[in-house]
Amino acid sequence: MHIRPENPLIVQGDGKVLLEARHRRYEEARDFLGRFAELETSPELLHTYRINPLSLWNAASAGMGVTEITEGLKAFSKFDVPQEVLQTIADTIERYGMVRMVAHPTEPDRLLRLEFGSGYVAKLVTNEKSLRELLVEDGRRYWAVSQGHRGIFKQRALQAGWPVQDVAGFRPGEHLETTLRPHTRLSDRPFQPRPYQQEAARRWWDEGSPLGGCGVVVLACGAGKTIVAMTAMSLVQTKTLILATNQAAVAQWHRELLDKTSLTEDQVGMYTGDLKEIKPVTVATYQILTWRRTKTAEFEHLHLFEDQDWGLVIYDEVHLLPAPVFGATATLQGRRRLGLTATLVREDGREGDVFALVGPKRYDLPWQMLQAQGFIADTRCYELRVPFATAAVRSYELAGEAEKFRIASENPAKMRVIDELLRKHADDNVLIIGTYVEQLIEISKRFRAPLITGKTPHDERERLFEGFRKGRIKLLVVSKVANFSIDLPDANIAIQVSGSFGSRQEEAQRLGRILRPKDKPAIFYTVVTADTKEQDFALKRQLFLTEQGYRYHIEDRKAV
Amino acid sequence: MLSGAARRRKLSKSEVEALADYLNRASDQIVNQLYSGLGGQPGRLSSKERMIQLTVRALAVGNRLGALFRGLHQRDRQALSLLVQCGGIGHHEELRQELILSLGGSEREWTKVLATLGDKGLVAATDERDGEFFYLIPEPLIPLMLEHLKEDLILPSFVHEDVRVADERPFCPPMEFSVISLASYISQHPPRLTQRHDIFKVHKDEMDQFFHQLWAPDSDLFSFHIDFLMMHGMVELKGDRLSVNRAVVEEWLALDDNDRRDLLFLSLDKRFPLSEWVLWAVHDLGGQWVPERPLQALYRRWRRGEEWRERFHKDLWATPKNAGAREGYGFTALINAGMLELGVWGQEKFYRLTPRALATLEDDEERDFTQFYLTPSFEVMAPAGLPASMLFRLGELGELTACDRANTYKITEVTIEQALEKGWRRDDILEFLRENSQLGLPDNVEHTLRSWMGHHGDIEYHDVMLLTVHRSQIRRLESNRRLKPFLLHRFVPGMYAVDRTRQEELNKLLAEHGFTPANQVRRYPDDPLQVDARERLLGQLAEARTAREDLVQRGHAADTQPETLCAVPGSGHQARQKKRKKDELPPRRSPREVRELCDEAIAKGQHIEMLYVTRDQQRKLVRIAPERVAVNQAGQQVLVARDLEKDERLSYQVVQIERMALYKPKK
Repeated sequence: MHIRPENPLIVQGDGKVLLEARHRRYEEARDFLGRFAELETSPELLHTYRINPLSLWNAASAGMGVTEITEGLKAFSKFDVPQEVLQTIADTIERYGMVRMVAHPTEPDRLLRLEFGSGYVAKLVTNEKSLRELLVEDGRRYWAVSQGHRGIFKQRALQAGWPVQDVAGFRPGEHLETTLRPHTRLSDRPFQPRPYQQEAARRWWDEGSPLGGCGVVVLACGAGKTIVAMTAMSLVQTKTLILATNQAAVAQWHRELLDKTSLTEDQVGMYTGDLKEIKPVTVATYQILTWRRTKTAEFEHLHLFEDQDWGLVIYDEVHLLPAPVFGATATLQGRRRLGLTATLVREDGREGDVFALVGPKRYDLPWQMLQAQGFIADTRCYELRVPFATAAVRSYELAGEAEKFRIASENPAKMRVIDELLRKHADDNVLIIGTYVEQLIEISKRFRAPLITGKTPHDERERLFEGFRKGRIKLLVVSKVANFSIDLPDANIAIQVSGSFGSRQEEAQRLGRILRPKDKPAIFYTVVTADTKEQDFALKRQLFLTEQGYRYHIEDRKAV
Repeated sequence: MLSGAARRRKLSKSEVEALADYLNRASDQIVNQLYSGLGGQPGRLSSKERMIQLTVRALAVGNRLGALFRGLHQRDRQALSLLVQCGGIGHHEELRQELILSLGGSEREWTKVLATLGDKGLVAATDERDGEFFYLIPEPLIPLMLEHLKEDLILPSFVHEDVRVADERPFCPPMEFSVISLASYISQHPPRLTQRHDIFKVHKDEMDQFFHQLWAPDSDLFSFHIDFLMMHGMVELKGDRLSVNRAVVEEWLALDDNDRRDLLFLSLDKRFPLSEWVLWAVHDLGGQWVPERPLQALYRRWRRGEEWRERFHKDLWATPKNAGAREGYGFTALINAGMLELGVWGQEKFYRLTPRALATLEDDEERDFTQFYLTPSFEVMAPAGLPASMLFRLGELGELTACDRANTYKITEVTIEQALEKGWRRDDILEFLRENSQLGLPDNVEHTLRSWMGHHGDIEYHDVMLLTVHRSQIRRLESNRRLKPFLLHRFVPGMYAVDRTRQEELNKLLAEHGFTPANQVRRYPDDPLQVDARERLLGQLAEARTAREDLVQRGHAADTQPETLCAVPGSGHQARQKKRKKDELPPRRSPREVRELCDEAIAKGQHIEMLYVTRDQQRKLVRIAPERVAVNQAGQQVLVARDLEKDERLSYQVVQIERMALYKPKK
């Protein structure tokens, strides 16, 4: 074991990699690691990455080889790189491309031919029970799968440890002229995608080769993933189906497409619970696609995938893709697919399905770089601990375990702190975000601020968001509906008054609401009741943000 | 006479004197042989003294010795080298066997070679006893020979890129890292032992899994570590579980590097004698492979030399029956202890030092790492190479969750609570983390730690013997090297904790160094009688306070209940005065009377009826069964009693009892 303390990396035996963030070779090492390892946490001093099969296959799909990875690791590492890690890297990377899916030479509409790296691999794959049932004998020497099984075969093969390199190509879809405007339509400001947005789209597209055209772009909230998607649309020039998380997000996509591309209102439709338009570019919610009358009934709107000859399907917030949409996506493997997300981590652990069905990671840029370049706001996080209002203590202590969190979250003593914060930030654009509607109603009444909840009609929501964007409204109270895909570029203060237990994803998404770059620093306050269940859960949420590299300050507020 | 030789030569004056002294004591024949071996002509010298003078000069200058060695036949050099490796002693017959075994040839040849060396004065022999004798190299000559026999003594090395390492474990951290990591693990997850004192399989499997980066399951390396810990008392059996003896570990950590290394070799020697010699011999080749056979031969000679020396001193000169039965030694014990690495090339075996052994042998003044990484998510990453004491302390503050190139520790509320129980102080925890973490203590971690620790340890008890010294003597005491180790802790300048079991020893030393310790030890509390008196005084004080409050209360507590009011005698209304209604309340009592009455009731087991003034100045008539009179935290006297109506045990402030009487229930 040789120790080279001057190097920036420690590679652990379990594939975890620790990177010193203050090292002079940090950037070099980070750029290298980012290509084949997943960033797990990025606190101030020490970032941790994980080398896992998916991250290695992502790297392999981008053309990285075993030697490049292992030699690089050896060069950066303080200790000798564990033998088992080197072995795992070699074994895993070599598997990629051992099974290739290519267009069938004689029956391209019906079948896809499989090519194997060796006879031994062919034997292993074809003997795999879950794969065998999807295989079709293709003459005496080859195996094939039917077009309809393209997705499910890739999904199962990945589960069996055989990532399929799909180079069978895509259906072009019906042509649709799409270009990016040099000036935005609404404000007539000059518009051009940022370099990293162009790079992300370019890597995804891969010059139109069958090796590109599917995959995921990972960018922080507020980094402009929508513009990456629009750039991709301008490269593909085809009818496009866009899937987003909720109605507000759909409306936002609609607005952005009209604002920044050559598409007209006749060409962009919204397919939601309220409105069912199918146009050359259609933006729909995941919710409407997975809607059905009863638990056993058919999904009535999945037909949308087949209604048009889509050449491109865009999955916004791909880490939230619901299971039925995965099923539908498995049948859409002939179409180009672009996934957009701020994190590849799924709470349900189905990262493998994203890799197999949407595609490998094509681009990832750490938020620190975006912040350093001024593309996202410099953000500070505060946790303000408030003691219980005297009246509420008793009900908290008598409540059952399940109720305690809610009682603590709704602590009336928080009002005084909110009041104080609002006075402090009187000139700022403030969002108050919470989970419990009764609490939000009370806040809304007390501070005479408009409230948006799940029950607020769509038009009303849009009116309020628009008012906030235009600066007519300086304070907005929002429930969970605003967790995702709401673009409120001028919001610079978020006050979180209650949350969904320890949901890390929610914390990141709420923080994302204030990440758009602006002149003022962005501040994210979380008000919690001290020494209660809420504080315990807040610690988990706090850990998530600190692991992402945000500085967290804790302040105790005195009792009223 | 001798100083001239010493000046021209590398030998020190004392070495030259020792050499001359040795030769003076040697027989004339030995001196003659050596002198003539060095090229002198003994016949031309008049005295032995002059011969010794010239011999010493020749040896000290070194040229003559060099010429002598250059003139030696190869066989002579080989035999001399082998004898040097045996420690300069060899049983006549067994030595010849060893020479034949190692270098071939016949007994006759080697007898002749040794005789030639004897003629040159390089080898001598003991007298014969029943035909047995030992060959010896005159002791002062051995260091002088080493330089000239260097080429014959050094082990051969082997370099080839195809040498395959058997059982390679690329992670081979310094011994102290693995020892402390194991100690921390045992401290956090004490493994249970069977009646045969084996670790329970389930616990052993867990440990193997946890330490899989360090050793393979069921490996001897693990046994070596656990033996090491147990041998030195760092881990001991408590009940049916292994437990870490913190004080011993602390003591081990406080030792200097050489002492720690000696302890390690001591435990290695139990598994493989002369292990340190083997490691140094391999170390001298600077990381190259050493073929097995020469190493085995060298080791065998060391062992035989040790045995011959022992037999020589014990007068057991005859060859025992089993002598020389063992020709080859394996180094498996050192491989299992993680000190040697085995390489294989074709049929040949080779050895070299592991990084663990290298770290043990080489004094690394500059540490590779001096700080750990503390993240805002309460995780600590401690790379192998950190000082052992720091690792052990981390193991006390956080849970060791992974053992790898960088150990991972998770700081939680529970681990902090346990650390406080072990004697860590709040400020020490924060300071340790702040000073040894690369980026200090993250804000959120500090805040949370403070909230976890609360006010724990604001008040502590210390069971110590205290030594105080007049301020004029502080510097003298503290700067005294022999006295300083007795001062276990300095509270403030001039006030120290000392070990009461070593008080006598300390007193003697203090007297030796001109201090005058007092004859008597001051004790607190001084005298038991005085303690009682003090307690009595405090009791009286409590009473006095009660009485004082009683007076105040009396001033306010006139009996103003309207039912009891009567006209003033002689006034106009007197004639119409009705007969006074009988007062049904118990009589008014002073606190002293209350206490006396309580004592009486408790002694007789009777109940009491009393009028009690509550905090909000309400008067309540209660009936109680008194239990005892006590003093509460505020120093007030209280009556502890059971309320008969509520059937609750309550305490009543004595000063708040206005009226009281023994209570007899009406029949």
